[in-house]
Amino acid sequence: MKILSIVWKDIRIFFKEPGYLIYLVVLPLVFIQLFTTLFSASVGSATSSEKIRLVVVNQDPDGALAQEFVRKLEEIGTLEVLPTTLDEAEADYKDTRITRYLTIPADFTKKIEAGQPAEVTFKALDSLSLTIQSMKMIIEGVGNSLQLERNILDSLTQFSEMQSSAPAELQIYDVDVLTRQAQSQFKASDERPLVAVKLEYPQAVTVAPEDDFSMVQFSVPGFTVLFAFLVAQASARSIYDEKKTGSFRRLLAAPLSKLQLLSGKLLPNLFIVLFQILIIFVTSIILLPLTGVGRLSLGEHPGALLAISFCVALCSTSLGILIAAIARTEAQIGGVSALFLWLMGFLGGTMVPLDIMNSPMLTGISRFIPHSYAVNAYKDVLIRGADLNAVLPSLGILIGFSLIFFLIGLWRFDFN
Amino acid sequence: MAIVEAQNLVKKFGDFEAVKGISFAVEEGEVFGLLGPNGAGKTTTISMLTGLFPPTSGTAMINGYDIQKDPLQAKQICGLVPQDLALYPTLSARANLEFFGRVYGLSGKKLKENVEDILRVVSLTDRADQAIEKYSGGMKRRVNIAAGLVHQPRLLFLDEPTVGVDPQSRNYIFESVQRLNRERGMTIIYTSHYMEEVELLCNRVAIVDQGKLIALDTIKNLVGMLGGGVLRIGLKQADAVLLDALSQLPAVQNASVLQTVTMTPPEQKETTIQVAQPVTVKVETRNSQQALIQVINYLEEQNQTLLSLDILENNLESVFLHLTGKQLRE
Ligand SMILES: Nc1ncnc2c1ncn2[C@@H]1O[C@H](COP(=O)(O)OP(=O)(O)OP(=O)(O)O)[C@@H](O)[C@H]1O
Ligand SMILES: [Mg+2]
Repeated sequence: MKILSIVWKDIRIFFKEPGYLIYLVVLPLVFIQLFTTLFSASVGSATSSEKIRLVVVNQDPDGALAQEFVRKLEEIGTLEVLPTTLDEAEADYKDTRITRYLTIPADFTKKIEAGQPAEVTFKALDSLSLTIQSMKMIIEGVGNSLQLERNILDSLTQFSEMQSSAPAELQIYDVDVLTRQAQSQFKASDERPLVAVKLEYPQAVTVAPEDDFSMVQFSVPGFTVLFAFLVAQASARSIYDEKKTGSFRRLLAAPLSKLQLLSGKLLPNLFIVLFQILIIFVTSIILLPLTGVGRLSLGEHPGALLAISFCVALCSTSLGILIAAIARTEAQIGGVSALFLWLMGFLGGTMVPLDIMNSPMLTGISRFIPHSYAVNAYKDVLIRGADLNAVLPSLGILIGFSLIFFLIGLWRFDFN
Repeated sequence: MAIVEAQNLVKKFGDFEAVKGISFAVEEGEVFGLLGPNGAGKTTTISMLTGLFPPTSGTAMINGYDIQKDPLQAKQICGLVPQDLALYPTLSARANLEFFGRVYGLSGKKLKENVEDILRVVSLTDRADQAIEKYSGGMKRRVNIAAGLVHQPRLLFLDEPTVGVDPQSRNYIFESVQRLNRERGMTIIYTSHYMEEVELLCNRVAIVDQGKLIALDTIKNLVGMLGGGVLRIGLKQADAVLLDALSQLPAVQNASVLQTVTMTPPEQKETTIQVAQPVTVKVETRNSQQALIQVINYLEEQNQTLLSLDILENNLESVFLHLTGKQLRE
């Protein structure tokens, strides 16, 4: 109860300070927008007018339906179909010159004509990126339309046969019968697709994004982590301010245990970070697409994201007490610790992905920085489709960092 | 049982000993003064009594509880008004007071009542919902005091509440202190380096200097200890014979020549008839009224003309001067 009143008071104070809101919630969004735009431009991304490239291996080149399938893929307009041979595609894929390709099997036409389902294989390295997801949907759509046409064609053939053999007075097209027939075909095409798309992807590989890769999936984790850790400075400052104005003395004089007092001062940080992450994610999903830089996709394990966010909040909070404990002057609590946190952010790969820099030294340094584990955990879930189990090691390390920060902070904390 | 008992409190900050073994006891219902110049160790002493930090040695008992061993029980009955404004400037007065009330375990109706009550006491009900940073200095001070009172403590520590306060707010604070003590029976420990405040408000006073307790008594006894005040008389000339004769007068303790009048503490009550001052004689008395009559009679007998006359009554200032050889305020 007493703890909660301290928490509530601090949260109210935080929200009375528009500077903090801008610094910790608006700024990350601006950065995400800017970096996504810049990065996409520098890598030469497909803006909406450009086509997404798709390498297609057609092993049924003479089959009418396979040809039609490829033609329809091109007709959709969003894909640039690049035909190639299987050997070439496999080699390119292995060396990650391409990150995806589609294979049409040799028995494609034969199977569909026989009314059996055929399966095309879509291999992708970055299996959970928005691009791949939407490409898979496009291919499935084309497959469905092919099948629908096939089915309707069958029905009409059936009709003409029925009509030609029927008595004269019945030789009119019965619209009712026709509609009913078509509807049942629509239904059938939904229930048992004739063309199935099988998405194949390797478990967890690091892959440089192809040109049309959605950079939002990269910039959101990075900047979320960077700014979540910057909250540590705000909570260190809150403690510093209380000490400076003397309201901390009032709290010390009150019947509160030191544990209550510290928790009361630290919990707001936890809530503020969680709130901040929520806003960044929600905005990246809803508002970011409006600025033309693609939409954040949460992937298949939002629960894992929640767990990561909680660990990030915990780590940022304990870093806050560490800063409050060792910073002595206004400058240290303000400029110096901000600089320090931004530097940590950079070295932890929150701004520029560490893989891109390709420096063993930087990679080595990043091992000692909690940011890098947080960013990687987010990316694992958002980009590689990892689940909670897969990111547990990273979370463990984050909790370890939290514990170390907290204990040093507690040890050095000056209650006077 | 004393509500406050300080036993041999010592506080060292590194090598520096800010409080060098202070002991005193305060009875319930007293207004107790802690008087001393800047840096005497008043705030440090109060901090140890309120459990802000532990003493280097010695013990502090509040209402029978050791502040080190049973801090929660001891702290529950105490209210602290720190020397500096210790509030959250972006929050309203009401939000501040509610917060400090909650920290002492108040909630619900009781909290609301206490907050409204204390807002009325400090006459801030009208502006209670405005952020404190928009208040005038005097209003901030009043909220600062109110924040130490929301939970209706039995024992209130007021650390120099009038520093930087305008005369109007100052009077207001004096009245509140007296009212809280009289009407609510609140025990108050009041620190100040203004002796006239302590004289006005307190029954008993502890005088501290350089971390040591140098006197502890009622104001009457402390002032009485010095005798009856000082006369300063201006004469055309004064020789050893005259000084000797003056010293022999029954109500006079000692008479000496002052070279220059340097030590006129501004707060001392003076009645000055200034003519000229070739020589100023300082006459220390046992009783200033009787001494004055005797001195004037003697001078008339001697046909000496009185050029000027100051009567300096004794007060805590002169007690401090007497005890330490220096003035309370630089
Ligand atoms: N945290 C601290 N660290 C080191 N020295 C301190 C600390 N707090 C107080 N002191 C020193 O202890 C001495 C007593 O300080 P204190 O604040 O108790 O004086 P005070 O009597 O309250 O003075 P004032 O009337 O100016 O408020 C001073 O010399 C001060 O510099
Ligand atoms: Mg002080």
